[in-house]
Amino acid sequence: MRLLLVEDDEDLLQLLKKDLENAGFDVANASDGIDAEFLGFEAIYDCAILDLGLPLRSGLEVLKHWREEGNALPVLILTARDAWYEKVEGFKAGADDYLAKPFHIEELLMRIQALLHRVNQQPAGILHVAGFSLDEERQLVTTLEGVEIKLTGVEFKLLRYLLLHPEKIISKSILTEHIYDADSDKDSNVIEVYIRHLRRKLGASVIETRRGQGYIFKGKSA
Amino acid sequence: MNSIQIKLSIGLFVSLVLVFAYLWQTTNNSIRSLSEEYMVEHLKHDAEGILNALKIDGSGEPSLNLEQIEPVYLRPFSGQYYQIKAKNTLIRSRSLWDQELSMPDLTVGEQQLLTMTGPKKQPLLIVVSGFYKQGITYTIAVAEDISPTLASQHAFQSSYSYTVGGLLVFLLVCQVLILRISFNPLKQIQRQITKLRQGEQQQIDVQQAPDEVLELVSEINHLLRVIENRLERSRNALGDLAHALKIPLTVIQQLTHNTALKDQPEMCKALQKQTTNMQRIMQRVLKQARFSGDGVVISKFNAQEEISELIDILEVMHQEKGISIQFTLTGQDMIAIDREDMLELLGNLLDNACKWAKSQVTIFINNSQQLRIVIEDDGPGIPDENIAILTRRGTRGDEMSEGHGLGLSIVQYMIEQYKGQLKLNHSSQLGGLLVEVIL
Repeated sequence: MRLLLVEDDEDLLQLLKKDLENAGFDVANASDGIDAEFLGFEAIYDCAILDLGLPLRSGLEVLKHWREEGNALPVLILTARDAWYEKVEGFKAGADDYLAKPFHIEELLMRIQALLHRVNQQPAGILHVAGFSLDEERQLVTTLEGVEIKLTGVEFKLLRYLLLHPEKIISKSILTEHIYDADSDKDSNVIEVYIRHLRRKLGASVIETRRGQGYIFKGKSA
Repeated sequence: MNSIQIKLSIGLFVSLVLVFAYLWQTTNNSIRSLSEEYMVEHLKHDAEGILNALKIDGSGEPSLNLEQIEPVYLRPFSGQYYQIKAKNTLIRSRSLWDQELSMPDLTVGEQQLLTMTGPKKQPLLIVVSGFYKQGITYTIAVAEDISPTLASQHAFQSSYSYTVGGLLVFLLVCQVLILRISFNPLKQIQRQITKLRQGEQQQIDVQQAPDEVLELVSEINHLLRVIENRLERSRNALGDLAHALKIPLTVIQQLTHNTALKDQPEMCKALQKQTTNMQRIMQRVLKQARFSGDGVVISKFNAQEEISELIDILEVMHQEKGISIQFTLTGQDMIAIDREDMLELLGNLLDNACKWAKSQVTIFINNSQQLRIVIEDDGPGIPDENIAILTRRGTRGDEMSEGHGLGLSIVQYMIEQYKGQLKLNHSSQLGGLLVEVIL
């Protein structure tokens, strides 16, 4: 999952970025409104965390421009402005959620998780898909039989993306875009390698390969 | 009563009535005395004519030459009478027939004016004079029936009264109209002030103000602008301050999670506690400063529209729980309370209800004479003893532990500002908490 983090305070940006990366997100950041707006139009982000008080262009304006152009990027507003009329304004501009500063990181992670579930039509809480339950906090997956399977960082990211889009064909390039790993070369077969790891841990039939198209998460037919 | 219009009306009414009453009285009096004077002159003249017709007859007694007397004195009960007293003789006009006038004896040159009832109940005006002629003193009374004069006097009086009365009414109506028209601009300003208070207007229209109050109106407008600007500025300034302070606070808060501090749990805890305290104090002060309070409403609150939007937002925010919010509005749509204040109040109350509710929240608003808001949820509610603590007057937000999670302090503060009432109760419909606000 790729997040766009827009925050003009450098200290807070670095702290948040670290926390978000620890939670298994790839984070791109912008610290002014114009950059943020530009980045938001690249269709590779799963969610944006948007500050309102930005230099050059206010967050609200950025959000309005995105929506005017039909950009449906899920947006969580993270701002010091916590009056209800400001929340109303934020939602009217097209925000999907609103969190006031100061906040606890756990709250922010929970909200992002809930938002991602919501936009992918998945119920809140633990992700239950086709015989697997993904604990996003502890980054491990549980089978129907109650067996806990530990996942590495990339495996977790990959599985989360697949579980959020079950029964859909997902191309390798999309997976590469959304599960960006700074250490790997994009052209290499890194996705194939991790798919293989997942199959080994969860069962071979869990992920189907459609040649030339991509992968489908089938899960266990109960 | 301190109305200029009423004072002017009463003053003008009383003075007009007094002037007209005086006019009426003096005119009537002069008409009466004029006609009386004329009659008296006429009677005196007749008395002289009668004296002229008097002579001493053969027996040395006074007698009257009737040929010299006007015929009207000869026709019975004609209304013109005379009666002459001389020594032992009493001569009465033929018109008196068998009646006699009671009259005093006067010395020569004396004259008296009498009124009495004569024959056939005729009201008579009598001039009695004392004369001396040919060695004899006479007292001659000449009388005239004044009923025709009185009748014409009455006729004049009544037509005159009608005219005067009519004029008075006309002038009073004119005066009322003049006052109405002149006070109309003030009434307009009064209406505008009412609208101002209800937030339908931001300024008083100077065009409508008469010169006398122009300065006052301009001053009010000026003050309104000053208040609006100041409110706007303080809201903005505080918002900026919040923004500026919250970020360092957030950073400090996040730093406590830093792995470098893992082996200093005491310090971490203290830091966390203090930053949380700071956050709470800041939030309270900021929110309190944000309320415009009971006064001039800068922008009104459209209940139907705004609350529906707020509900949509809250349902999204609490989507994981699948909360549904039922909204009922009775009375008027527009609420004359500042929009931002109202959103803050309802947002806090509804958000609380959603936090505690299992799946259902209802909001009922009745906006007529007073504004009544009832919010219920199907959550666990709160025990009676806490209800008492939470609604006690003067309980400050920071005294209430965060553990209550009710966030009622801001709501309470706002209700205090608006001199309203806050009541907490058990919801009989949904089983949770019922919050009632009356403003």
